[in-house]
Amino acid sequence: MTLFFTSIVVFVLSRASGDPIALMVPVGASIEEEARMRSVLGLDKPYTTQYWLFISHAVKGDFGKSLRQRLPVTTLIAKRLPNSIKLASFSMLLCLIFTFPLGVIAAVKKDSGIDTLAKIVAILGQSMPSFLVGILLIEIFAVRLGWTPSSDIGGIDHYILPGFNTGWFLTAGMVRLLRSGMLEALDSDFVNMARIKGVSEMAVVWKHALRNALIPVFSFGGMYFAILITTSIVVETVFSWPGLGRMVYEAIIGRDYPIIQGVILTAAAMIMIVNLIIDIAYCYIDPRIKYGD
Amino acid sequence: MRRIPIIPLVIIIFFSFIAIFAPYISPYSPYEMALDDRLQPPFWQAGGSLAHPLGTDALGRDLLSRIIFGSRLSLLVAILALFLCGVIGAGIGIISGYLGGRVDIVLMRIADSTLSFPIILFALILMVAWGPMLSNVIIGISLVLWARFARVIRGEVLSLKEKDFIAQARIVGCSSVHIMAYHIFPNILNTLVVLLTLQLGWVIIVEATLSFLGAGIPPPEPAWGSMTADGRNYITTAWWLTIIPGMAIMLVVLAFNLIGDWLRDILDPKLRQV
Repeated sequence: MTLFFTSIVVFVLSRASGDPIALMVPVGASIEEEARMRSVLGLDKPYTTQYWLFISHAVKGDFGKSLRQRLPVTTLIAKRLPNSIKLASFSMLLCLIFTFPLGVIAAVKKDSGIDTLAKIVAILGQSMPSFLVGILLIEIFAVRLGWTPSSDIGGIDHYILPGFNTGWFLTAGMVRLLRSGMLEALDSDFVNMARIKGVSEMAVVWKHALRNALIPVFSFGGMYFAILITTSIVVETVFSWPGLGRMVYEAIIGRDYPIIQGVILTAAAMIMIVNLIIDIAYCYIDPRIKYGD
Repeated sequence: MRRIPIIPLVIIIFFSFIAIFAPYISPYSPYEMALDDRLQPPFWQAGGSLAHPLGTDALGRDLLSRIIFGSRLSLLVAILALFLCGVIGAGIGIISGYLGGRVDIVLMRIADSTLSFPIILFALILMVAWGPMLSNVIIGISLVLWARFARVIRGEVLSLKEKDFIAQARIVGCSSVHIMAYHIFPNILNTLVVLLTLQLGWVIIVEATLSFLGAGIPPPEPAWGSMTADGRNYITTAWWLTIIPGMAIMLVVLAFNLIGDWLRDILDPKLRQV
């Protein structure tokens, strides 16, 4: 249902962004040539026909051809999507590596040095625009220190800076959630019970409390999958990363409707799948949640 | 009551001040070019002078003046966009939560579809579609953000609905509209205020990112985001063109986030997960 609604929105919006023919024909082309180009690309049909063609093909997985590159959109997406996913996964990995220790220890040793560090990381990560982080990272680590390359895809060293860029943003939100979740859990009855029972403090923290604190973190992670796709536009632009984000950005500027539509629908579909997976996973993580009715 | 965070408050007051009084305190016009004085460094570096305390850009425009006027843009966009968001979001949230039933379901469906949409992508498309104008930036941001407000407010209304004083109002014969306006609305104000302050920083970042990508307020307007983007070309020789606008963005957002957190802790700690 939502996918359908999204497709309409996308269709309307892309077409609202202006006339691609105007951008593609050489200056001084005659009216006939414009019209011919329009009909070749199928843009002269009435909007409803265009929409119907779009939907009927999309359902079969065919998003049409890019207006500029005359290549099937699905091919273009397939080429760039893995790059974006690789970067997103790397960022997520970095995020997890840093979030868990920081979040848990910050809660356990509240108001300590680690807690302050966690708070600083979190608030900075949410206050700095990602392009600023990216620019600073490039300037410090790639240019001044020369430790890592600053753009494009390549070996793992190419992943580090953009990974940290996106990763920091993710970590910021997650650390806050984890910390407050842990604080609540550590205060709760069942944790006290475990302590009374004599369970070691290690187990109390890492097994019992953590499991309960994980729920909002988990849903945050899923929700931020959507945000990742967004942030990737910025990061990919700053680091010249050949991913989906940059492709969409260029498509929007160049009014390449099929690409815009294809990418957004793919993104929306992916988000929905991720949300579904999370909802299902919830049932296993927290048996208190029942979906029967 | 927790300590008022003094430094963020000072920062916000400072930037609001310079935004309001920009034309009076800015040393130059933000558009004034002085091609003899291009790429001057800030006054604390060699070659800089107090004539241009923060340096100049590639067209000789004084950076300090541009930062001052840029604050107007950022704050204006943020305040107007959030005002719209607040009105739409609270309005829909209250109506949806109070009336319930089909209205609720339909409204929330629409809200949810907007929620899962990547914000910047959506705003980008809107900007390219309608043209990079100030009003479009504001409308674009509000269209994308209202759903979050609506959802949270609706939650509040749902729990408020069951309270006694609402039932009493109904018994006395108050109309739904009256109840929503005079009984429900004042009680959700707390949450609304907290939401607004929490989102302020985010909105400023969104506007800056849009300007950075070239889809925000177009040149020669001194938007901090586009200033940062332009500065990238000169980053090795004229670092101040990128760093200073970037820092301005960061400071303001940081201040708003800290104040927002403090307000939330006082007014409505339930919102901790937002």
